[in-house]
Amino acid sequence: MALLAGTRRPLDQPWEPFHPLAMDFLAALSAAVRQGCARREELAAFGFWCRRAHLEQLRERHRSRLPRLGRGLVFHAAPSNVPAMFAYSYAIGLLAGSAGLVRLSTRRGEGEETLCRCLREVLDRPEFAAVKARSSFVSYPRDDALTAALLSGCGGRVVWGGDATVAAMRRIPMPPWAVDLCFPDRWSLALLSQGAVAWMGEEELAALARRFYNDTYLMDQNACSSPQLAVWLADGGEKGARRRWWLALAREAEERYSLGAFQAARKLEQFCRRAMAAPGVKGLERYGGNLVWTAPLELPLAEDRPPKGGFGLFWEAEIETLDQLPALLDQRSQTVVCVGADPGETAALLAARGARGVTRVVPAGQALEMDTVWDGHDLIAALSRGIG
Amino acid sequence: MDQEALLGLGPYSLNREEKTALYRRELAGLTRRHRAGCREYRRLLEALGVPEGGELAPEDAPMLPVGLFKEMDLCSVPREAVFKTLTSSGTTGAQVSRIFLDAETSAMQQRALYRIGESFIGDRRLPFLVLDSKRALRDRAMFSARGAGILGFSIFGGRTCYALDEDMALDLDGVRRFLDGRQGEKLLLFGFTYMIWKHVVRALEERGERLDLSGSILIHGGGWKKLAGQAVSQDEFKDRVRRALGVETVLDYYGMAEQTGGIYMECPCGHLHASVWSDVIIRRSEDYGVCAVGEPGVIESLSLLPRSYPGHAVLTEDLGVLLGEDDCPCGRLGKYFAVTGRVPRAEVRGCSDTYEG
Repeated sequence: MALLAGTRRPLDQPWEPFHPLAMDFLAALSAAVRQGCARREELAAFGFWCRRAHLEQLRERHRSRLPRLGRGLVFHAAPSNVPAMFAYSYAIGLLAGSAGLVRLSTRRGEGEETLCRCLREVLDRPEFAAVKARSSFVSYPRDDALTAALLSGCGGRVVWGGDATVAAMRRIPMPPWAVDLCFPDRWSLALLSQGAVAWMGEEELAALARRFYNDTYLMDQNACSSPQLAVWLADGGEKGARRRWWLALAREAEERYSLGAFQAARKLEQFCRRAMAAPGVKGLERYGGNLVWTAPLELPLAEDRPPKGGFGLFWEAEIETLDQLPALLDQRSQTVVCVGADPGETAALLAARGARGVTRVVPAGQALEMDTVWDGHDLIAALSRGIG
Repeated sequence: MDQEALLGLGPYSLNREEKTALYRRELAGLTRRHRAGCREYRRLLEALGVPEGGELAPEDAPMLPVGLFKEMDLCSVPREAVFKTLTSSGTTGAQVSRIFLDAETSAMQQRALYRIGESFIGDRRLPFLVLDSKRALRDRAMFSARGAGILGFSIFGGRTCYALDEDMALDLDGVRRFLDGRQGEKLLLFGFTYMIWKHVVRALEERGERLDLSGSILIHGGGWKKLAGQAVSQDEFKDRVRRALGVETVLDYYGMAEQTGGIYMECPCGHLHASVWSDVIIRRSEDYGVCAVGEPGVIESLSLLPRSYPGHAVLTEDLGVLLGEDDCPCGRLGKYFAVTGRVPRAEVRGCSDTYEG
């Protein structure tokens, strides 16, 4: 077991949520990351996320009527291909008042290494010795016995996705009092108002496409919260508006996305797989060569598997009114990204209609933004306990 | 064109115009056939709005990415008609392709391979020295590409000797016994590029031994990926093979389990050639448009042989470059090209499994 940062035997003393030292530490980490990792967008985004002003906002949002304390030591398992995920998970645990034991994959990439370097540097400062004593970042190959041994000292675990990982982790026992937060596979969609897009000027359209690019291409459209299905709300305007939208996205991708032979092949594979596995695919449009592919799907969806794109392949569906949206959702649906549609109105409608899925409705540009409320769980509340 | 006429063509006898006309017709026929026989393929054609009937320009035939054969079972004949399921080795740890062959397809593949090989080797069976272990035929795990290659080329061989023993060690005494009394005779040597390099060439060099097989012909395939990793160029490979074995004619071939039979043989000028039964289209990954001569891209491989599975137009994961058409100094008509490498695997971002690894 390799120690990447922090200490080998973390203390499990509970702290109050938003402990001043935890806040100071994360603010210092924010500065270090923004200085040291500015070149990598996803790391810079983490640095921005734990800036002091945002931490203060979070403290206000999670203010509790009851006194609260953390849940001791919390075990975090983060995915190997979302570079900053382990850091978000750890930071949220720390804000909840819990100590953190973070397991990183042995297949971690350059992004994680860079972030670990920043963590080491800030944790080693004398003023953060108390934070270091409750922080441990380790890496080891899959080993159920070792994981079980580590978990035996934990008051909670946080497991980030992959259904297979969640299933494997749930087989490993924890102390009976420990809390279990699992984030299995999810899929997300975009809700686009044809009427709103039709009325947008070129500049507004380009700005929105830039945000939508960040929601999708920045993670190769493979993040759980990246939209796979674009649902057009036929609320006015003409169908040509859709073409304008995809062209605007293609222009953005042309400037920023590097699409190689590998990505193009995965995209073609994904398209063919769905088109061949079930009926209901009604065409394939390409914008900017292989940068943006769109393919209309008939409703109701013919396959039980959620629509899956990737590398800029978007499935499309059309609804006449917002009332038809809940029928497209299931327990695995996570984020609705609104383009021209109103997030508040959409969320209210989903709640009123008793939608089976969706835990987040956000405007374009915020799909990948980490939140302390995720998949419907208040993570600060879940990783702390109230004293009532 | 009926099968007899198709397989009766000279392997390198059609010029661009003739081959294009043949492919317009035959690819449309294969597309129709697989549309009727394979439900999944029919859905794809419907999704893409490919009309039924009519001819199809070779570059417009919908191509299936090679990775799809690993994810889906694609078959155009009733399951009872499948008499052999071929699997590709693929990269280590990855899923394998499953290719469903009926008697007709398998026979056509064999005949095409024979016609192509014959034009290089001649129609007389030659003593066959396999630069591999007999285990490659027996081991289920090793079968697939290696076993199928050895079996495929064994149609050109007479008496056979395996140069490597069960532990992949060079059995020099066995080879010398086999060669005894055959001095100066033309032999057919066959093996996989990396195996030849590691277990024959390097083994001979380390022992300070040489063989004199001048006048023989060595055919090898299976790709350069592993050798490129050891920084061995094609030229160096050939030089060292010639020095260690004394063989002058060393010919590479390019092929894939998804399109067995219609292999691309290297001519004495060092170019890979498309026979009349297969063809390459080099495509740009930016838009899958067709590359010009000399412009590197991804290789799409067409084959007129697959009758039992929709594998007549496959986008490979190999990179290549078209060198010319109908004008190779060796005199063969058709396209000639070079394979320059594999599509590099990129680090994929996104949420996925966390615990493995």
